Amino acid sequence: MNSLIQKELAPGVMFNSVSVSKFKTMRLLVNILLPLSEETNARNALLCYMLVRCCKKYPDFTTLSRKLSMLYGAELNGSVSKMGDMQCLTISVGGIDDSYTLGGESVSEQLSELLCEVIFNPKVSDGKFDSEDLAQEKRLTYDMIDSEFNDKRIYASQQLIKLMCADEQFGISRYGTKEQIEALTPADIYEAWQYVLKNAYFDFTYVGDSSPEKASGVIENSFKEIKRTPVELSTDVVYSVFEPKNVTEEMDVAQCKLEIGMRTACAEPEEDAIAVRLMSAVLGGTATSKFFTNVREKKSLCYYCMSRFVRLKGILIIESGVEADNIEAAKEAIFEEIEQMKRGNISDFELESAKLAVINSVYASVDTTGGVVNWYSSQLMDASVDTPEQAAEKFRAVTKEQIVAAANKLSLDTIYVLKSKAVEK
Amino acid sequence: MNNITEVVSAKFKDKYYKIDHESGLTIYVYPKPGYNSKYAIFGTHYGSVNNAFSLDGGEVKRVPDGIAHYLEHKMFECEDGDAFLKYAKTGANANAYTSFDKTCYLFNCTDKFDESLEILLDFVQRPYFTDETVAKEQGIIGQEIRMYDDSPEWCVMFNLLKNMFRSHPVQIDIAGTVESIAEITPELLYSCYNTFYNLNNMVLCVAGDLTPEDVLKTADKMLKPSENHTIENYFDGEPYEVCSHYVEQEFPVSMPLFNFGFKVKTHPVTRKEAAEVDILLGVLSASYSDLYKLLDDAKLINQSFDSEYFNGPGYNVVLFSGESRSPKEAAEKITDYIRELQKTGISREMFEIARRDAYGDALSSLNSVDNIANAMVDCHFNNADIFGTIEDIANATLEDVNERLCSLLDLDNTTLSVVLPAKE
Repeated sequence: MNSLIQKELAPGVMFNSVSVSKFKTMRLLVNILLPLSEETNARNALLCYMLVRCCKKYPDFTTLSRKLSMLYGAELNGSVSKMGDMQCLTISVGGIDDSYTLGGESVSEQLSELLCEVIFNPKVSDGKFDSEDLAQEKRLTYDMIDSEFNDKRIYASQQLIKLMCADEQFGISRYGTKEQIEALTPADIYEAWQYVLKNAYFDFTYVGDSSPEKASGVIENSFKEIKRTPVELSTDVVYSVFEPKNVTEEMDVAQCKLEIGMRTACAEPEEDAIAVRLMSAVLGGTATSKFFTNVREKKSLCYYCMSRFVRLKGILIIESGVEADNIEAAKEAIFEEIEQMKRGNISDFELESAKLAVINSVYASVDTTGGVVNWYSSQLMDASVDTPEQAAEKFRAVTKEQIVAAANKLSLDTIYVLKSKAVEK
Repeated sequence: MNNITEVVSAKFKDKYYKIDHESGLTIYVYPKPGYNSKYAIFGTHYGSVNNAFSLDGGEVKRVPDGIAHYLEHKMFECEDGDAFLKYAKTGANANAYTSFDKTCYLFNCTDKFDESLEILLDFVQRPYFTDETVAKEQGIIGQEIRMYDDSPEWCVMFNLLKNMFRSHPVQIDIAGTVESIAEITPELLYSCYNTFYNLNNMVLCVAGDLTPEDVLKTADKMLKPSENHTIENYFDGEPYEVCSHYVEQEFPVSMPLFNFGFKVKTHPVTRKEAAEVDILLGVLSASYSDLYKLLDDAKLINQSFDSEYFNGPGYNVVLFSGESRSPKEAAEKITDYIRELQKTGISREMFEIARRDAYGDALSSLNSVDNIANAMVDCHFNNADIFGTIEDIANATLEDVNERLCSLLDLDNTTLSVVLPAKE
């Protein structure tokens, strides 16, 4: 793949582009980064949803949807996530390549303009966003919070993070609480918008066949009038644990969820983070991992058991779905596998198959425009921005010794169990 | 001799090859230059609904519910070890699934494609079932069934089907029940295998940076010639009318979920019809539609609102689904809206929006090797063609879509299934 071309359009405004011809579509995405904060998460999140709901030119959701559909089902999406201790507002547009339109029009040009429209020309008047729109977006956000509660796998994972990182910004919800959202006024959103334009860090990424010049030109122009003082961004990494926490919650579920959070004492941009990523893969990241093979297949203790590494925070999360009677046995089996890793009991097969699976997923991920965009934009805070080929090379070079060393740095932080209520069946 | 046909689309700047392999298998190869991922899917036209069948006019066999899915799980266990472990050596990402009307085995890889394809073709053609291995699976599948029982989305759909259909097996949980899978024996598994895993009843679709020769190299070596047999599937006489118009269940969810289905007169769906219904469902449920706006303004839906045309042998259902504070009101509004639209017809402007939207969606699906290969399996089993499907959307007319709107949706033949938050 062609490597990334980067340029700074304004202070704290980066524009990255990758030219790729194999797709039928193009994509332009911006990550807007701010510090995670109890005071501003809710208003920033709602700002993001308000920006993609409509704009001055397309003043309601339906008009905007119709515009996108006339552009052959083009997409405009907004989402909110956490990236280390930062809140990340993501807005993206994507559509078919100009050469496939039925009427010969340029979709990519119109979409770049549309992205700038929604960021710089939202539907505001008298220092306020539209109150009816805000009420609707609040409702949609509550619904999203409810859906995440309905999905017990997501719920359990969020509970773990909340407990484990109670003293870190990372522990708070990416869009605040229902109460915080409820309290927001149309003027609060305006204030958030003004703050974002002047102070947030903007990272644009363009992927497509046609030239990115047009897009970067439109963006650069839009920032000309704005006096920018980008905010400082950082992420705290906790290196040691004083006393592990143990929390059990009861709910009416048939299958229990066992969540284990560990500190890895190593995070991006530290060089060894790559070894931790691979360690997590050997432990529970693939279909040949120790967890899958031993805890699930051999001992039949759970329906799923996997681990993932939150690389900016230095946190390893182990997730498992188990029967109530098997919770203790599964816990024991999971810690036994970690112990084996620490002692260096890793077979060549385990190591090699984990490397293959990880490299496979790296290459596979860049076969979509969204994947290419994510691949680059997610490396924003890493030590270096690698192409898929460079990343594969680094994974291949990791040794068993490095993995064992990474395993020996693991310390247990929190165990969270979502348990079925004891009812007679 | 293998017969190879090249199908080119100048418009979509892509092509694929259809190979009638001498073994009896149909193979499709869709080259995607520049892609790292390669995707192969090997499927049989056999799913959870095929629970009564005969071979070459012989006696009708009835098999336990959930056996197709059970068989899929057991196929991974080979005499010489677990197929997943074999894939681990090639780094491929392997999976399988059983749906109502097909069972598919697939892998996605970026490296060592030949080896992975060899594994796929080998284990799916080499069943190995013993009393011991069959018994061992009961616990794992039992767990899987329990996990589905915990899923409100899964339950709201099966409650709909159970109340819509009187006897058709589409209402039966794909994985069966803990009781039904207890009846499964190696003999029954072999009987299903020998009936449906005949290469003439199967298809292999491959997409990626590959040529037909790359695939044939392995296929020629691995495929065992199959004799063509006549398979007859039996579905008990299913009445046109739904069994019941409403069903509800409580769950620990915070917002009600609903599935609102229109039972449609059974018929095989043509490519043209599928394209027209695609556009029609855009008009009825996409975020740009008048109905979406109406429901959204009334605070009756959220972004999860969706629709689907869901069909197979003996079942055709148009389905609306989503989360709603008041599913009954939402269903009523949907019904009223459709009744009115059936009188006035869809406007030309709305049709154009929906047509372009559906076209862009279909074209974008050619970006993904997974989508392409999966779509080609469906196309093969439904006698369609991947480029033709997109062309049909581009060429659809307002008149034909209006005609579908009236002929497909019978407002008196609906079922509403609701999952309500459990009362404390």
